Amino acid sequence: MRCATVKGTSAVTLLDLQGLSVTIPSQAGPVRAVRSIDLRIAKGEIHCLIGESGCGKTMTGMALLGLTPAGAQVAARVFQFDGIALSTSAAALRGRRIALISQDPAAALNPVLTIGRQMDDVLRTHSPHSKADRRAGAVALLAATGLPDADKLMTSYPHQLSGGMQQRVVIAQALATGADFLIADEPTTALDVTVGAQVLALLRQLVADRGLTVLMITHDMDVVAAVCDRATVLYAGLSVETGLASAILTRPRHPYAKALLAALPDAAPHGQRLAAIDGQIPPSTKAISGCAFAPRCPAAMTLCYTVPPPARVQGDHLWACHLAEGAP
Amino acid sequence: MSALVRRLGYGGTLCLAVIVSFALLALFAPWLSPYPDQGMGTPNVIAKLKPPSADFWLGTDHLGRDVLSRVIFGARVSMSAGLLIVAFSLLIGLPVGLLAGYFGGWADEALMRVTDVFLAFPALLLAVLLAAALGPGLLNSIAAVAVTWWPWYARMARAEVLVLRGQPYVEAASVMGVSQGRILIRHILPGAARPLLVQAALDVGPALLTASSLSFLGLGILPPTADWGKMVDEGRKFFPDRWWVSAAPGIAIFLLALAFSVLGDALRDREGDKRRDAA
Amino acid sequence: MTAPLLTVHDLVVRYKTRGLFAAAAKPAVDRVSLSLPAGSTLGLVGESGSGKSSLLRAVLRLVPVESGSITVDGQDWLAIHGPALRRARHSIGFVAQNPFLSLSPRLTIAQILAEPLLARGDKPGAAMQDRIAVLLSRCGLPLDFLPRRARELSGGQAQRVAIARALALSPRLLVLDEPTSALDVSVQAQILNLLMDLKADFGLSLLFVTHNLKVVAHLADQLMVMRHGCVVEAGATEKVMTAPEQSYTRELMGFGQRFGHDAKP
Repeated sequence: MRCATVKGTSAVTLLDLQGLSVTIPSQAGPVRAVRSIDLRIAKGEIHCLIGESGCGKTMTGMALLGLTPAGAQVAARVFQFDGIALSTSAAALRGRRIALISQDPAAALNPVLTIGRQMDDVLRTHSPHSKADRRAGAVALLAATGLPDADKLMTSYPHQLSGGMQQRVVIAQALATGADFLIADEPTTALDVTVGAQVLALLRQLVADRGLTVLMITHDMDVVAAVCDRATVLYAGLSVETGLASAILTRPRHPYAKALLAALPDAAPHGQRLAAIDGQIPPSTKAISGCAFAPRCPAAMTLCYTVPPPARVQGDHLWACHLAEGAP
Repeated sequence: MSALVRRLGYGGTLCLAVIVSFALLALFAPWLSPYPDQGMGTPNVIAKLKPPSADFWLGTDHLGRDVLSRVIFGARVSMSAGLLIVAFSLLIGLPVGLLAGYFGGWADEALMRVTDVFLAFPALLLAVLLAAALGPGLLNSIAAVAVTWWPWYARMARAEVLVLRGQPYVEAASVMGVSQGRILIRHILPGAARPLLVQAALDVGPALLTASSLSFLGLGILPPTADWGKMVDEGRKFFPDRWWVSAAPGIAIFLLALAFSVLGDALRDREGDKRRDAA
Repeated sequence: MTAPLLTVHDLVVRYKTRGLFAAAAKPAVDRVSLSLPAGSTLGLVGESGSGKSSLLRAVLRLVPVESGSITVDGQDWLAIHGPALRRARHSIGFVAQNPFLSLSPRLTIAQILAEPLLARGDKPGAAMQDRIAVLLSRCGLPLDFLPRRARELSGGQAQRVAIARALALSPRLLVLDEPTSALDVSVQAQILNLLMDLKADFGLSLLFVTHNLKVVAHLADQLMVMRHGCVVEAGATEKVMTAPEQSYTRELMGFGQRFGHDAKP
């Protein structure tokens, strides 16, 4: 097994996010999709945002793109991309510096336009060269994502391509915008295992070749192990642990991260019961006092229910817990 | 009350109120109309073609009968015509569509070719032909229109069934060994009937108009029974000087048809919202 | 030696192509054979287009079979039709991938659980209510769920209802199509634990179809890997996971094996 090592990442922080919250008004009261998330991504890094449904990972991605639902209140202490304030400029950066690769490639491509036409649409907006130049550029980008017969592909329609090929086209479009920051929201979930592995390998290669930075949103630990440099674990709209991906996978500190990894099928011997986590995530309409995970934590103390957990630091590894390190 | 407004919106609730008012008028016509016997047809030649006044709120027609009473009695005919047409069309069309869609194969082919034949004719023309062939009378004109309308419902029902048939929960039922009849009634019918009922509500207006058109053309109700379409026809000669003879029943048709249309729209919007939320 | 509960022999499933002159389509299931002993779990693994779903649907008699045979509990499964088939279906329980799609959105949980019992001909009454209550609690759900509808439940709870429904007629064989693929990791663990408990308590045989080799390897006694309609690897779980013959099988184990953990399959 291999885990991506942190190579080539500079110390320059590209994305600096502290205390992000996204609240959506609803009939049942304010829905706290994101309660408080801290996220720091360095240039050239592949950062994984790990969590299960309801943790706020997709909404965080949407906040970075300025695509939260109408009426949503987005607030943060620090909300900067390359020094630019995202609270005002998310829309301007979207499609220029920040691009999105979403889960379903078939839904991201227009079924009635050829690939060539869709690539041209993007290139026309971002690099006003001649038609011939644009075409050559499109072919080069498609080839760069490993698509064979890029020239022939220009006249194909999305439905003629397999899922993996469609996702490569979406990646090529993202590259065509000239963006240096890609948000990949579960890019391999809709693809077969073998195809997904190829797409991840492609992303790693593009990061190395073109100096891109990637925020990978996923719930799949295999994806984290395969491509991520650093990772942040989310629970109930809060960031609970962040550090090197390899460190989180082998020695998680936060009780939720530990429980999550322990619940994986290959964490238990064959035929034995898996270590499931009792209970459910707290409803997003309720405010939380103390630690969000306390009701489900095997090591919860009375303190955990009333006082929010402090941040604990060990090198570049951070997590929020009342327990001292080494506690069960 | 607020639950009703939530379901239908303010427009929809208003329309429901209008419809209910007309229904009450129709039901209690003998007690609510100022001149019930004139409403039922007794002429009153002395007061021929009088304009609206305190005695006759909507004036009188060419036989001196109170137009308001005639309109109220006409509500009976028009409402029952509109509702019965839609009901009969549903009663024929829904089962046909269900069976064609669920069983497929040659039953589907045969039934769909029959609907094709009916759909090939312009509906009103076919209705006129049938009404003329069947002869005058309320039931005959209702039957004539229903016969031209059921194919639309059959088509709609079949389309709904085709979608429902492929749903995983229907498949799960057949894997469990649930009989086809039970699947049809418990799973397919409720799902297919819903949009059809919404469409039916939307269609009462046009049904009413079609029935009125038939009686306007002289096919349908026999005089002296009050019927809005016939009244519009009778008042044509006196238009525009004695405008009230045609205008009153005409506006009544317009109001009721519009009320059903807007109500149907409100129901359909609600249905659409529900489908979107469930998706 | 117990007789196998389910055997499939040289099964071929081919979907019809349209058009007079179109060449015959490649078979979705190409001469596949398997044998599932009573009380055992078989994991059927493959990616999209591998034929595993077609094989499953053939066993459930949802698609026509071109050739080959299927034997369930000694009976020639493909020879049964009509009312006899409906009765025979009671001996197989089925759990689909998405519980929100496989449970009727209109019925209450109580009605959903009653449906298979009514299909068997049971009369509604106290006995049926008791049976439903037992099913619900065996699957870890509280009784106050009975009047609710599927959409009010979480994914894990809804899948438990689907499992309870599948067990209503005490089948010996449970067929599962990606039962945990739509669920979170922590919920998946709960469902897998539930399946293991039920299997032990009721002596069930499981046919578990999935694309996730690691999930099924935890439960299964035997594994079968399919690709393009054919079986490319089959055998005892331990052997397949530690010494796979095909590189494809290795690829399916995921692009990231868990590392640094002591547990061995």
